[in-house]
Amino acid sequence: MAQEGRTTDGSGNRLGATPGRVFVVIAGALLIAVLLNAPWLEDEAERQPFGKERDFWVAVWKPFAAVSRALYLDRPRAWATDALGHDDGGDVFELPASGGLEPGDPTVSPGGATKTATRSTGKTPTPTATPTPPKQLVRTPDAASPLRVWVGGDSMSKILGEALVRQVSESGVMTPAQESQLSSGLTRPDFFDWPGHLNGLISGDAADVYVVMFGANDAQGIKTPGGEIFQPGDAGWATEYRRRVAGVMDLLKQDGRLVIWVGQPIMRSAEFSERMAELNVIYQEEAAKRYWIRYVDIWPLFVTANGSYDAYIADDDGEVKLMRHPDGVHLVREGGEKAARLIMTAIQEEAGLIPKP
Amino acid sequence: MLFPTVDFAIFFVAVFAVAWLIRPWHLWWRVFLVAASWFFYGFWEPKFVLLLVGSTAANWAMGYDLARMRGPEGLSRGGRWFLGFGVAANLSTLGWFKYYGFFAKELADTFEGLGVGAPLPLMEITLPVAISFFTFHAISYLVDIARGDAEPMAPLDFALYLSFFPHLVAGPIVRVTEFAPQLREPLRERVIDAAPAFQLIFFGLFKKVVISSYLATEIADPVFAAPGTHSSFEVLVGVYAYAIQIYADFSGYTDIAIGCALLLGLRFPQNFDAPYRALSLQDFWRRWHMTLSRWLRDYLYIPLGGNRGTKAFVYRNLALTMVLGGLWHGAAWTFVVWGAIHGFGLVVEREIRERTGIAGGWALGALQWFVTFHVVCLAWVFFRAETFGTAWEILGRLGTAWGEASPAVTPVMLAVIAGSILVQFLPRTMGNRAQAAFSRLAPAAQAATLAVGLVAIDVLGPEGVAPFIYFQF
Repeated sequence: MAQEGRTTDGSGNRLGATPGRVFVVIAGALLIAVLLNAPWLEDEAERQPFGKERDFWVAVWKPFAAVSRALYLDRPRAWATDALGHDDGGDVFELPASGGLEPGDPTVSPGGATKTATRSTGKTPTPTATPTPPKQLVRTPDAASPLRVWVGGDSMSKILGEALVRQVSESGVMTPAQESQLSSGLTRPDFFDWPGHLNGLISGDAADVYVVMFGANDAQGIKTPGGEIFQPGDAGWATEYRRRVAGVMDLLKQDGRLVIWVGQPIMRSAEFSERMAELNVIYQEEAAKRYWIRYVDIWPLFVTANGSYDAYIADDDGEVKLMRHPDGVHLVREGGEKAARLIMTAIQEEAGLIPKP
Repeated sequence: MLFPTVDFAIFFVAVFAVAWLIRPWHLWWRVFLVAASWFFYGFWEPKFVLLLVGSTAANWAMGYDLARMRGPEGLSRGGRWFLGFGVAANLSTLGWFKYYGFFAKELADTFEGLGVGAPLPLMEITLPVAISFFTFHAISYLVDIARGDAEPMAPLDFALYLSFFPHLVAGPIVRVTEFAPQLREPLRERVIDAAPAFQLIFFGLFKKVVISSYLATEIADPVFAAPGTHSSFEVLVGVYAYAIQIYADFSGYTDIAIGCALLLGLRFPQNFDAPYRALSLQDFWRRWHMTLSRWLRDYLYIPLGGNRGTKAFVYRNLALTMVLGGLWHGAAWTFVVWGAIHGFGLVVEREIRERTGIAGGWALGALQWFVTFHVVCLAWVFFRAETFGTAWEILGRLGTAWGEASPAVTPVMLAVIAGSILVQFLPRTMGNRAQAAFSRLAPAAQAATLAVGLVAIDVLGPEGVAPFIYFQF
């Protein structure tokens, strides 16, 4: 057996250390590392879902963070973070007041609320008025002037986004871009500030089509601007979440821009599925009030004939394939391809590349 | 519990302290390490601890019986059948969890082509973390006893051998003859080789958290997700990046495992030895996942016939070993092709060596390195690609989009890839000198050095912990 790891000096004498000394070194190293890093550990703890575990860790790191700041031990890391140009959090973007519809705006999406979606979630969207929407939400592209399609959101958008990137690039008349942030969503802008990030994207060289997907990480405690914390299931939770969804939808409004809002699919856990169905209703209802949003419901794509969850689902050609990740939440490649095809159809319809049904 | 997490740091400090405090009480020391290992495993999915305990009990009992079936002439006829049963039982358990979905789907597709319904239901089966690794440990235990190379362990020792938390999830695959004597030896000196242990853990974390995560996120994942959207240069860099990513990820994780075991006073065999400096595929397999290579050699290649017999027979054994090694990595044909490329490459290499007799010289050495590295990268394309379609697209794209812009490739990225390869050519004595210098520092200075290193890794690494590639195997 290899004597990997035996330390010797130049004369071949062993350079070992006693367990007590090693413990002092390990414990000392962790203590110093915590002091150098405490404000970031505190931030990280604060970004955890609201609850007892979060409170515990915040309470643990808070005194260390105070000592670290008082002794300027947090400076080296702050300098390193600045030098590397890493985003160090900062203020969360303030969404515009909800209900950002302008007078005279049409209030119904051309494809916003589908019958399938209503059936799948078991809830009925709020009825809305039906003025005439614009003829076409986004221009018809060609190879010389392709549509720029951006897809992003939480971890659910990763596999789906990768499939959409493939399909978009194969279309010959669109170019793709993708940004998926694991563990992100709309509930915790202190973890990842999607409204702020999207605002940055549209303020610069904006895309023609935005495909967004949120929700899988959003069924957790939410903090209102007034500082109140609501847990999923509370009436206040749905009100605050709806305000954020509406705010992001309004933020993305621009003439000639199409926004595709993708709902969540059924999940293996019945409880989690119910939560996602509730979120889908919010997306669907808010999309229905805004003509520039097209809600795409992928829930029906991943249910069995009797409406339940199965990892193996028939593809469009009838062949049964593994669509879901073993975690019972995420999609795998085939699932991503199936969902992306539905989104591609929506984009092509809105861009006048194929007729609407 | 993943190694690079606060959870594991707390767990390990507690285990380290208690394990050394009770080290003089040999029985309780082993009981504690088994309990800690089962706790570590249960952190993922408590119900699978039962599978680990069941595998421990069954394999210990089979090992005990096998030893009684050994005589001066070796294993009795009944013993050979019993060994076959034991190996088959282990492989069946692994097969159920790991390959059922694959075979049920392949059968369903075949029968569908014949116009008949699927013979097996398509079910989703959760793959327990670490099952491949503890199954390999169990099989080697049974075969070593049957061959007379090892004696049955006490139940408690065997439980620790199979489930010891540093090697449980992703190896290295430790042989019973390496592990058992360390448990039996009375503690002669309370001395830890701390410097090499810290070096292994520190550089393991750096490779895993910084290098692997950076290359995966910035280039390897996007290129393999949609090769058609990238230029030839980006695809080429993406393939090189994946070669570094998987090395940094896997060797980093096992380095941490070896370092943690060393801090607890137990030695594991080396698992990686600068594989990208290899001048041949044979050399590569002596340096890459070394404990799997020797496992495949001793428990698959040699039982298949090894180097005995005609040349064609030997080449068949070589190719078959590599193909089955590929299939072990995952239930997909792309893994089979990965193994086949290595198997075929090893055969071709042997043939060339026999016919020509390779001489030295730096130019030839450089050519050998270049060819070896690129064959390994070619095989990685199939290993990483989710489908054959993606693999072919990657290879096709390498030749068809050279004129396009490559905004995804940055100078830093190229420097990281080149640096990760060049560092493998450095002499090992550099590490030894660093360890000796570290050992001479006062404890406070050692702690400060480690702390600054940990914070640097945290700053350079991504938010959260990137998934560990080898969990799925």
